[in-house]
Amino acid sequence: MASLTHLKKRLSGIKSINQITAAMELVAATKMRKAQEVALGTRSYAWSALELLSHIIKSLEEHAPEGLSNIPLLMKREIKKTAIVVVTSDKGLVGSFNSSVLRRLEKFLKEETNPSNWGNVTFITIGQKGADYVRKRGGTLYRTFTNYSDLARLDEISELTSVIVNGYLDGTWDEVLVFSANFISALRQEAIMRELLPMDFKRVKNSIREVVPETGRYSDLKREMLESSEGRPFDYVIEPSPRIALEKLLPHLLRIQVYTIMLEANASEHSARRVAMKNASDNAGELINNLTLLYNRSRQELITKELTEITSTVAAINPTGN
Amino acid sequence: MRLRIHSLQGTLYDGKAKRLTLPTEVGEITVLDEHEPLISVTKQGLAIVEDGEGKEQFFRINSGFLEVKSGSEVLVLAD
Repeated sequence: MASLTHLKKRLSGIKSINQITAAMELVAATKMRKAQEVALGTRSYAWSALELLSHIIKSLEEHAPEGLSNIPLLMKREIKKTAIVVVTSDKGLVGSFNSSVLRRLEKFLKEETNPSNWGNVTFITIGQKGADYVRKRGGTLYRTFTNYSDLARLDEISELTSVIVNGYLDGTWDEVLVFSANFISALRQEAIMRELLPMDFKRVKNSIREVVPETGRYSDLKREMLESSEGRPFDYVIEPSPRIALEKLLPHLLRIQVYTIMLEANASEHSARRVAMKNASDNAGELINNLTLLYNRSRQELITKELTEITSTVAAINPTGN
Repeated sequence: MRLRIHSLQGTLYDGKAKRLTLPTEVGEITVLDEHEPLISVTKQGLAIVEDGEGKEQFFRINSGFLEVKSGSEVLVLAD
């Protein structure tokens, strides 16, 4: 039987762990909601930008189809080098959030690459965990960004986007793939791979549409977005020229895409942490119950023992009982 | 005209406006009611909006786009 003081110590230790995990759960829930709200805040901008894109393309198709070719960000070229962007968290205690992203990446590397062209893969990592993984794996780290995990800021995104775009334009890589968590609902996230460059309109559209979650609090916004997406085209005057407008618009769209990917990863991280912390709190609660039971039983046993001792002592001193 | 100014952080302006002046790649322009459909690339500078009550409001723009739709609907994407 464990001593009472020992049990008491363990009990208070578990209680304070329980408090911490419960607090972390609440904080993560708030941060998740915040990330979702920020992601949703981008949607009017994103949809307008998409609409603008379709107008410019329409005008180019009608008046100057040759302007649509040879746009660097859209052009598919022979893929010799690949850049892989890995989005993970800086800190742990997020359940399977990082491991599922890294597992997805591992699977891709096994299937699509072999050691002979391993040198053609460059990594850009976001979050400490991804950087650690790439270093351990012996990959080439081009750039690593940390401190993105609470809520990605727009200036950070601009920096990341320009690194990605510049590397693509100067031929450091010929395609850009992103491995990150996709936020489906507060309880479900999945690790997915997205192709970022060369750009593809359908993909841009899809990733912007993914901002609105399938289920839960904001899911009814999806319908609203689908309805507003079809505008009547007019015969626009485009200044300075359709081609220049298109070339200016594409990096903006890419930035929106990167921003939404990051915000989704943020929301996923926080919701994964929330679930992990909830499990931890539940387990701590169970432990507390069991230990309290044990503590009370030991205490009662001790009292009973003392009483027995007292009565037997009394009986020994005064054997006749009067 | 109905003017909307969107940024990635959210909507900056949504409502009636009498006049919008902003710098574009080809020079500063002022958009009034019944402007012809136009798409233009904006330049860094200040967008000045005269709202429905004749008060002026200012928005800083780094880069972005202006879209004038027919039916006096104006849209600015600003960063």
